[in-house]
Amino acid sequence: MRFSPLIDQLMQALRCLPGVGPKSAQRMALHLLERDPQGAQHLIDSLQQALDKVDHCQQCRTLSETPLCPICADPRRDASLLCVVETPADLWALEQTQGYQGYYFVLLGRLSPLEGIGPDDLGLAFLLQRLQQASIQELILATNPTLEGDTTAQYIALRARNLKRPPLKITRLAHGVPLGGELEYLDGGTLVRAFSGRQVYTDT
Amino acid sequence: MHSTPAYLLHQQAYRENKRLVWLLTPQGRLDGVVYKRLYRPALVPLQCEYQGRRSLKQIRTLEAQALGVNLVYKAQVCALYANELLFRLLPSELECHALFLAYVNLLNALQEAQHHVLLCAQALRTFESELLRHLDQEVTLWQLDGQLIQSHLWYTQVEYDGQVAWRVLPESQPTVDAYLGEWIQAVVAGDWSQPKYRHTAKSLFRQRFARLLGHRPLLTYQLLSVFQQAS
Repeated sequence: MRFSPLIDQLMQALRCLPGVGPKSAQRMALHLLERDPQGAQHLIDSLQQALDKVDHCQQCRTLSETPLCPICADPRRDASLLCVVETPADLWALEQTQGYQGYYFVLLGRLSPLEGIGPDDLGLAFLLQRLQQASIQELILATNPTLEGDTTAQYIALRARNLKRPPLKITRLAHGVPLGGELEYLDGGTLVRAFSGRQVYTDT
Repeated sequence: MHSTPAYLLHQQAYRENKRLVWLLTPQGRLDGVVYKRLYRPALVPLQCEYQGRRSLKQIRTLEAQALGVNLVYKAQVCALYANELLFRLLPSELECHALFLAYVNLLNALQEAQHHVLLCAQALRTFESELLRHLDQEVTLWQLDGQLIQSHLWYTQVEYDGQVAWRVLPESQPTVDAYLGEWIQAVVAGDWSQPKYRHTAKSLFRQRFARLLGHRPLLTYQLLSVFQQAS
């Protein structure tokens, strides 16, 4: 059975969302039209406002409604630390831990030749320019531990080392055993990395 | 249910709990869907169990068979380069046992020689040569007239009827596109012992890959040059 052109158009529009296939799009469209027209209106308004007002932070490139995001605008954060992440979602994940008090730089991707993403697509010139600030003493590379994420981290490290600036400490997030995890269920690669990244035992 | 050794070439998020994966197997490139919890990283030897008759297979298990290689800097980009070539050029489900072996050998060579630029380059040339052979684009010793090239003469490449062959050049006119017969013979024999042979192989292989890749060049070339300058 064919739906009316407008419903068809709505279902097609909903399919732009990741993970939404024809069936899910149909279910969502019918739910909004049949059961929750107020929710649909709220969705329209929220989407329109977000599209109008949300842009990228001028300093860290995460999504923000203001020229500087709340993190970059916070003078209480530690200006000696700069953490590079792949996506705004990674930034939010790190922020939720409340374990890091420095600033961020969001690449909005990672080097992925197979997806056509090269160094010019990641705002690396902007990152290197930012690294010229003498206040930054440590660059934390928090890209994902995938082939592309590792290559991105190595690329940034090489470029950062060649900068003419005071010595910069470059670190990478540790890889290893997750909290609550059990060794027997871990893959060999993770275990090897956990072993090579082991730390001196302290009582604190 | 089929079972095969495999290496991950590329992956992409697909739905909330699944990933699209492209695998190199001895049976050719295998495209499939796998649950996120079963996902394994690149450069690790895997055993893959899959089913399905369509081009996109349902992958049931992906088990790591060994630790895989741990590469850094240029060696890692070399592996990425091999993956990009395979992802873009290798047809799906066309048997490639020799190429699979060449890929395994490349990763092992990169692991052993990752701080040795020359050995990395030699391992890459061997892999590229095998890939071109698999794609029926290998460098040959034939001239346009069906004669074999001679080691002491200069040649240039000409394209005729979709095939590339050699045309002899007058001795007095070696150009930038000219190759000595001896160098071409070394490339065909897989001899990378002399700088001239390696340079010729790199040049000829790149030209052939460029023909196959069309207007979209490999992005890893750009990365390789940056890593080469910086290291």
